[in-house]
Amino acid sequence: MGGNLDRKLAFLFRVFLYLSISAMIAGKIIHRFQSRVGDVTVNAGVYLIILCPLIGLLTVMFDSYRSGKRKLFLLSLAVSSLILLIMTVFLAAGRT
Amino acid sequence: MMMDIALFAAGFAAGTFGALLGIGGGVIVVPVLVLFAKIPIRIAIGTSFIAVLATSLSAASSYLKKGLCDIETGIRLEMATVTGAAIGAYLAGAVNPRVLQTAFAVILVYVSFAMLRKKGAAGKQSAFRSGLSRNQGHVADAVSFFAGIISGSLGVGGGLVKVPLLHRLLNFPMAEAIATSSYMIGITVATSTLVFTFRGDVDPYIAAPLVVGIFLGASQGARFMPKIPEKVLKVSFSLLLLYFSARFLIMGVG
Repeated sequence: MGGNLDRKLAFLFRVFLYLSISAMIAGKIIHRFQSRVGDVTVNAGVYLIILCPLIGLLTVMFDSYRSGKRKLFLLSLAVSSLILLIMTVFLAAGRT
Repeated sequence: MMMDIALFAAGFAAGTFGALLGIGGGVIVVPVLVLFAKIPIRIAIGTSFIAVLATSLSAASSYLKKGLCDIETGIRLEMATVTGAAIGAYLAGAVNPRVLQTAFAVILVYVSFAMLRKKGAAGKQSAFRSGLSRNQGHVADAVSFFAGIISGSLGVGGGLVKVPLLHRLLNFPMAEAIATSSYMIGITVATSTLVFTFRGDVDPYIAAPLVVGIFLGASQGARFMPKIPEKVLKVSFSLLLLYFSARFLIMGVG
């Protein structure tokens, strides 16, 4: 069986997946009556599923910091920073 | 409504095949969206990422519970993969769609043959925690970077590059290679999806029925797995991919 961090991540992934799928289904239904609210709900579902692995990375980062796993902390910090940098560059490029 | 049902069915088929054959489903979703739903390839790739993410998260969640994922090695390799994925996602938006169609045709041929050669997930299930030597690290980074470019530009998870990398080069047992690859695919695909979303190349209304179909299909696939002979499944799936590949090649070159 997995360790504490493994179980935390497994729980996080499952919760986000169910939330995202529920939001997508609800959004599709709501869209028939209230298109604006439906749009927002479906988009929220999509963003939930996109952000889930990234929140997982932050969980690894905080957990490894608290448990003193220095190498894992530095690795997760580096990958999170890299993704944040990529997001910033593409967000900025989209605005210009 | 009919379109939603068709997309749900496509997702269900992709999820079932994905679970049966241990793939993310991107190699089925993109061809179906382009060839049958007539969706532009960039939107198809962006939307396929959402479906691949759902499969990856669901699989990774199960594997993490069993303690099969080597999180440290996965994150270590993600440095290169994420960089490759961002470059791949950028290239997908910059090149002519015909180039993407031709590249996708090539990938489908590769997946088709790799599928026939692939052995089952059986293997040692022992807890495995690795440390990379310097040489292993350089090669693994290079291969991961390549996997990231393929994943980011073509809307697939890249598991067919990552699993052999972990299994053959880093000596992971097969089960742990698949598990760690599933975890890695989530991070890689999330990065590519962000790039596609910022560019407006993801259609949430197409993604929604696909994801629901994939999610339900994956659970059904796991149920059917013992009933279908593996060889029949692999050969029929490979032929289907070769057919998709031929159609893409005609679109790309013709």
